[in-house]
Amino acid sequence: MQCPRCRNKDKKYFYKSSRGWICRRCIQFKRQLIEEEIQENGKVEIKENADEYTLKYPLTPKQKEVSLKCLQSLMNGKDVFIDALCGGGKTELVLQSISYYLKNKKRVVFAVARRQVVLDLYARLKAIFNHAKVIAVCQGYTQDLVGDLIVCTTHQLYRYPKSFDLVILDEPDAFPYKGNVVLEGIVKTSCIGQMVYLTATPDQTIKRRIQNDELTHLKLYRRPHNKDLPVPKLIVAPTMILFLLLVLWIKQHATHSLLIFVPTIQLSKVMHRLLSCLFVVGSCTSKTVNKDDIIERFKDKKIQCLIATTILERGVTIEGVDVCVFHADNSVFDEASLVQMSGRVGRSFNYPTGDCLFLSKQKSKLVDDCIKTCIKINDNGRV
Amino acid sequence: MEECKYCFKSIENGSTVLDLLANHDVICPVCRRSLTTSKKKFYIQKIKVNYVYVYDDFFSSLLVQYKECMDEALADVFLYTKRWWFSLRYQGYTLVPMPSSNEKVKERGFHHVARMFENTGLQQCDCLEKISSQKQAFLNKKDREKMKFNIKCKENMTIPKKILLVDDVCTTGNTIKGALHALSVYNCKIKIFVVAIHPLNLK
Repeated sequence: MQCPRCRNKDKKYFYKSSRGWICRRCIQFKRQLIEEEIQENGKVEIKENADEYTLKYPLTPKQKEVSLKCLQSLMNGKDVFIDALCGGGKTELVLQSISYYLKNKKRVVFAVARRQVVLDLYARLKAIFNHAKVIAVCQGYTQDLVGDLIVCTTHQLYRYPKSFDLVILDEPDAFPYKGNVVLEGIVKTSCIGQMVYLTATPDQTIKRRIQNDELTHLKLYRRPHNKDLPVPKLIVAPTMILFLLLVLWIKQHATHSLLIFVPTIQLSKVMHRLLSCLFVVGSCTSKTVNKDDIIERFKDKKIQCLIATTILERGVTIEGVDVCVFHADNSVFDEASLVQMSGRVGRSFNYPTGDCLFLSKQKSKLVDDCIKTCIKINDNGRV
Repeated sequence: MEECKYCFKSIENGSTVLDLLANHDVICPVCRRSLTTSKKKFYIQKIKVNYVYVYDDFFSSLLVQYKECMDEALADVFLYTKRWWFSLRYQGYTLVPMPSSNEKVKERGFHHVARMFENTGLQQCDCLEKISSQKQAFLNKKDREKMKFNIKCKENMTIPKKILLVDDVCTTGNTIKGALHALSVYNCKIKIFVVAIHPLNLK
């Protein structure tokens, strides 16, 4: 017995209801009967000139090379893994492939783990593919489900079983997709063609698949503006001193936008209360009601500092931002999230450099590893 | 090994010494403790409303999984620890579940309120029905008040003498008021029981 949606085979998740056997592992996506075949929901006609796209800036030669290799591999029917550093323009690398699939009237989806990133990416792709109907599907945006190019959270893919010829999975190592077997199953069910994985920090599963030669491994270790990835500075001290250092750091960088990452929601509340006596501060956690509004105000530089949990760790581009990670040694952060957080710095052409600071209570291997990774990426990129 | 029906961890997950003495349960002590109870009293038209839980985030997620995602396995969870108490206290009463729209029952394959109370072993009589099927969750307070006149007794049904009105959640109490209104013509003894009550009612 196997669940047709989440591919579960574990007996303990099956339950015999009055309608027949159901799978309870993916029950949160509404009941799925085991005997029921999953049906693809309606054919969708893709618009005539949906494949045309315009980029405001040209790709670098290296980007063009990777982009072409990606397309070639997909045409051979092989899945692709693009190992690109944060802010390296991962989105731009797959544009050519998307365009190719749309031209052949095949359906494409851009699946992202987080809702915030969906909205961000949606705005960008909409500007790039200005002839196609791009739609965002995530919590709060579920009225319109039909489009040429779909940007959605991995959760929403349950709406599209067996639908896509190309699934581009952004940041498969991010929460909540990371380690979530239900979501993995749903992504597999929605894909009937090729997959593209985009990330700067691959996990064990992807590494294993590369070793088995199931994936084409493409590398991009240089940002488009050809400047080094900012290497984080590490300071180890007791919490009180860290806090004073943070205040000092904020004063020094008063002209920039500042993003301060904290490990827990509790701590973000405390920090917000303390820092709001001195600076204009906002806080953004998963519990915040008006997240979009606060991030918008932060981008408009109406808020100088934004205190965030790992919710803003990935995918978000904010111009000219400096990053500080408070309590970087906390167990909430792993190496991937530390690399991603320091990767928020210097993403745009106008502000290619920036400052990144790790404040840590104690020496930790993960933090050291993260700094080493950054240095390694810079070394590899220069060659 | 038996698993918790909600979190799928071991049924002994987070159990204390006291839990060794407790009766058998279908969800783990951690999940059971996440359900909040309250001792405050609440009355509808001078009839006491008995309830087990307070309608908070955890209960809401449980109920959504049961009702909207149609997870029938959760039906037993709600009243499992109370089932003996329940059948003793309401001996001789006939359960009358609040009406659910026919389309919904057909889609689910079970009546969600009736199924919840099945493990108590009391007799059930589905003698109420909705006049128009409208989802209450989308209505505002004023429109919800009109629900009073949206419930009627089914024709050709014998109405039992001792009635226990049961529902899953009591938010404004208008569905129950409607049922009381419909039953007011029959001279019968009525008690009310809901699984969860909205905290606004407990102030």
